Amino acid sequence: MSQVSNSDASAKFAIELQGVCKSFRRTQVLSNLTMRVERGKTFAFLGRNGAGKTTSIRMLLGLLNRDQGEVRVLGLDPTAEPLKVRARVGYLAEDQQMYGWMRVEEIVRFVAPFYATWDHDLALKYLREFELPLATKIKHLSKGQNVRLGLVLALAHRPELVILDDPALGLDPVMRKQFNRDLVTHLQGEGRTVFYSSHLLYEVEPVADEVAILDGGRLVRQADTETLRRDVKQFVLDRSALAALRDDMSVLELQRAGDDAAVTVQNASAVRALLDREGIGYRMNDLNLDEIFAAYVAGKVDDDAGARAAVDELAPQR
Amino acid sequence: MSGVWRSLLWKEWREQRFKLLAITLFTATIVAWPWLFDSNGTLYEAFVVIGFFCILSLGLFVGASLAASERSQRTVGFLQSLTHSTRRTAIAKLVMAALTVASPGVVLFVAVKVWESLGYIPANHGISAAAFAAIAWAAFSFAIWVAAIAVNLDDEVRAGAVGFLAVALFWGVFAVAVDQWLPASEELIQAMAASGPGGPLLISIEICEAPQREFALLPPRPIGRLVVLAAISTLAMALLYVWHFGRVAPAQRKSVESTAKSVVPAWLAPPMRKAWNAILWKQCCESLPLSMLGAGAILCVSVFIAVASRGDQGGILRDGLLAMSIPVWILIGGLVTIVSGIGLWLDDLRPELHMFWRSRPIATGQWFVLKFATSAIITLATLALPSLVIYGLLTAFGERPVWNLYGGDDWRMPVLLALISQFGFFCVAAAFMAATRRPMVSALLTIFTAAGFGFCLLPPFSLEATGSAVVIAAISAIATAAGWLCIRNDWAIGR
Amino acid sequence: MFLRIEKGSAAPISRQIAHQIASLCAAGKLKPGERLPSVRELARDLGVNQNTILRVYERLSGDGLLEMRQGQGTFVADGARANASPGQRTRLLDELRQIARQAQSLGLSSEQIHELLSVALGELDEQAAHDLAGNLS
Repeated sequence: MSQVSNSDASAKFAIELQGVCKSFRRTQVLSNLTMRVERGKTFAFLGRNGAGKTTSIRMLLGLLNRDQGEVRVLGLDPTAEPLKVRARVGYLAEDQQMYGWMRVEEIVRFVAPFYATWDHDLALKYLREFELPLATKIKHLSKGQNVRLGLVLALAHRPELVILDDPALGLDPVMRKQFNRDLVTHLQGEGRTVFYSSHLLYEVEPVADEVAILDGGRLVRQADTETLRRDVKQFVLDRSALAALRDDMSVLELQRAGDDAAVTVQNASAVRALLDREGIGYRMNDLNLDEIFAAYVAGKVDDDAGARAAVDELAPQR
Repeated sequence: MSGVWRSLLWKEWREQRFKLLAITLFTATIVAWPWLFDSNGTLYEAFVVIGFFCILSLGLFVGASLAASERSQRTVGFLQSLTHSTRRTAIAKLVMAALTVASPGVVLFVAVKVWESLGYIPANHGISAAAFAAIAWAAFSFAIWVAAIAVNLDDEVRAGAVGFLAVALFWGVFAVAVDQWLPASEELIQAMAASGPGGPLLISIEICEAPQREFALLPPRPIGRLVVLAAISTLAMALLYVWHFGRVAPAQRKSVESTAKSVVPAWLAPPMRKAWNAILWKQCCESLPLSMLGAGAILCVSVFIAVASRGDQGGILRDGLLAMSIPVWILIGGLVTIVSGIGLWLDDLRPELHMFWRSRPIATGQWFVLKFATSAIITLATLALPSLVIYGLLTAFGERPVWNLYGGDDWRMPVLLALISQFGFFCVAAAFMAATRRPMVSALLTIFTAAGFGFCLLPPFSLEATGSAVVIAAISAIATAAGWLCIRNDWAIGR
Repeated sequence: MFLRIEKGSAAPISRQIAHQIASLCAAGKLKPGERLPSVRELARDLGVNQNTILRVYERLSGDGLLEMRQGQGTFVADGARANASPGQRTRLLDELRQIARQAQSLGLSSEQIHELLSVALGELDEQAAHDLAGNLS
């Protein structure tokens, strides 16, 4: 790849992962993860607990080294230049704790000198909007206040890229709604790239431009939410009809009840066209994001082993 | 034994077994060392010195662990949620702690018996089984006092500091009491000592001295009373510990604070100007309280002892005060520097806080150097302060030249050695903390290292003052380098 | 303008918002020339991505329901009510088709389905009459 196209890519993408692998002892946590996040987009990183989200995020900040592959954050390699990356990225860790003995005001003043671009007035503005008590010790803050303080510390240096590791974890529904609002006004409103992980899909959907679903250290799908909804649908049809069409369907999940089979596919328009052409009766169900997510990460067992077995089992009936 | 007890003891065993194993192995090494070098002449002294150091520090650290380990691991909430009472957990902890503190005594005892049978030591020269039991009990008594006083504190370092201060205060008061009543009421003094922290040591001394008294045709002292008193005090402290253990409402304080109406901030002080400024400030906030506590303890204990012995000295502000304050400084200072070395990384290596500073654009080298230097300087300087103040007072208002006692330059070397060994404690404790990330394990390893070094003072090495200083400096340098590698590369054992 | 987002629904957020604005236009609750909240305001109020709101506004402008004036904001277009009707009609037809399919699967004949619809309409008329009487008394 030439130098020019490289810089083009880094101008367009805030995050690039290419074939990244990572193992802890014998456990493979990430396998061949490839992903790109466009600048200015809000990108939700979804996966079950232990899917490798936090590992990937720590890698983006140079907190962990990769075994293989390429990582670029804002055009920089986080392993080679961790401090440069961290200076330009705002990061809120999963369940982040801060020095409990410091007062809110003290930690803001403490963190400030590490960032060249720190905007103290902006910090004060956020502190006001988040209604954070300045003189209170951090160990006495509530959980929601803690997350908001972490957000102030992640945003006050006007980072180009904001990485949030499951920020909604431990927030109650009211606080989550407020958090989404904060995200929309303070981050999207100012054109920042936001990369955040979550497992609360219905909270993610209204906010995210794009989602990536990670499962077992692999990226199973990256798309914007509307495309995902358009592509992933559930078809209810006759079991015998399914067997014939199985190869043309990209099946995520398969359930059987009596003569009917409910099959969730990720190429809905093609399957629909096919069914119409073949004149097979079916019912098509829209799925919500939770169901789509579940089909990708939990329905998988059915796809690889179960679904094939199920189809094989159906075969003699043809 | 019911299932609950079995599972509680199993948990404690799993948590403590490596500690227990390490202590036993360490003691066994000590025992084997003189044997390897065939220098049994100094064996007895070595036992006394190392034994005493181990009892005190082992008691302190085991006590701190008893008091605060569940709090610092944030597992109190879980223990409270179990269907059985937290008191049962406390009892299981006490059983395991008793095993831990008793293990060195058991190993020593076995070794002595073996040697007696092999003829290395003349029979009956060694110490009786009862004396060994009393020594182990003394260590347990230290632990249980610290645990009872510091129960439910936030972390082990705090618990250790508070517990130690309380114990030091007790003996300070005791010293005054001795001064007041000693000639009149020896019985009362003995009773007080026996029921204090580490009181069973007195029983052990009495047992050891019994043959000598017999030899001198003195009437044997009754020790039954002392045993009863010591037992009562241990039991009372154990009950106090068991009663209070886990009785905390973690959420209570939090909710009170957060329901308080938050004040909308109007003004924010300007940020700290430079990164080194910020790190310096943070380290001062972290190191100063502990050092001040240590210095306060040194001053209190020295003054207590000076007050106690003012009759012999002919006044308080005498060189006796300085003479007292230096050993007190060496002993308490040694322990405080260990705690301070552990405290250097205790917070920053907690998993959730670790990521906080790591993920910021903070140069690890700067972080390490500034923290290390600031904490070392603050700790050593603050701890030396009481002796310096006393020295200054003496030179200004004292009636005799202060070096009378030590004669010319002789006092410089011990002070220098004490300083450098405190620095050594600090470096080694910080390095072990960086490598293991477990405060109690680091404390024990540091004590082992120190005791191991202690043997270098004995034959066949017989290090002199200069040699010791060089060796300690070398150990400190190696430890610091190792600590730096662990911090820079984010290494930790067993992670 | 009250909009309600149902999270976790099978209908995408953008479609939910578009439908609700369209029905408000069709019902005449949003009058031509009325100014809508800015993309930023609506995004904040609903806690929804600004791009989503922008897409909805653009799509509705394309359908002739809204009018996005450069630098002034978004307004309800002149023919909004009329323009909204065909879309609403299609949607209604979709929903009726769904209901009809359900009815068929229950084994109802087309006369029976018509009959049910008449019953429902009759009930609505009755309700309206009742309300009117209540208002008069």
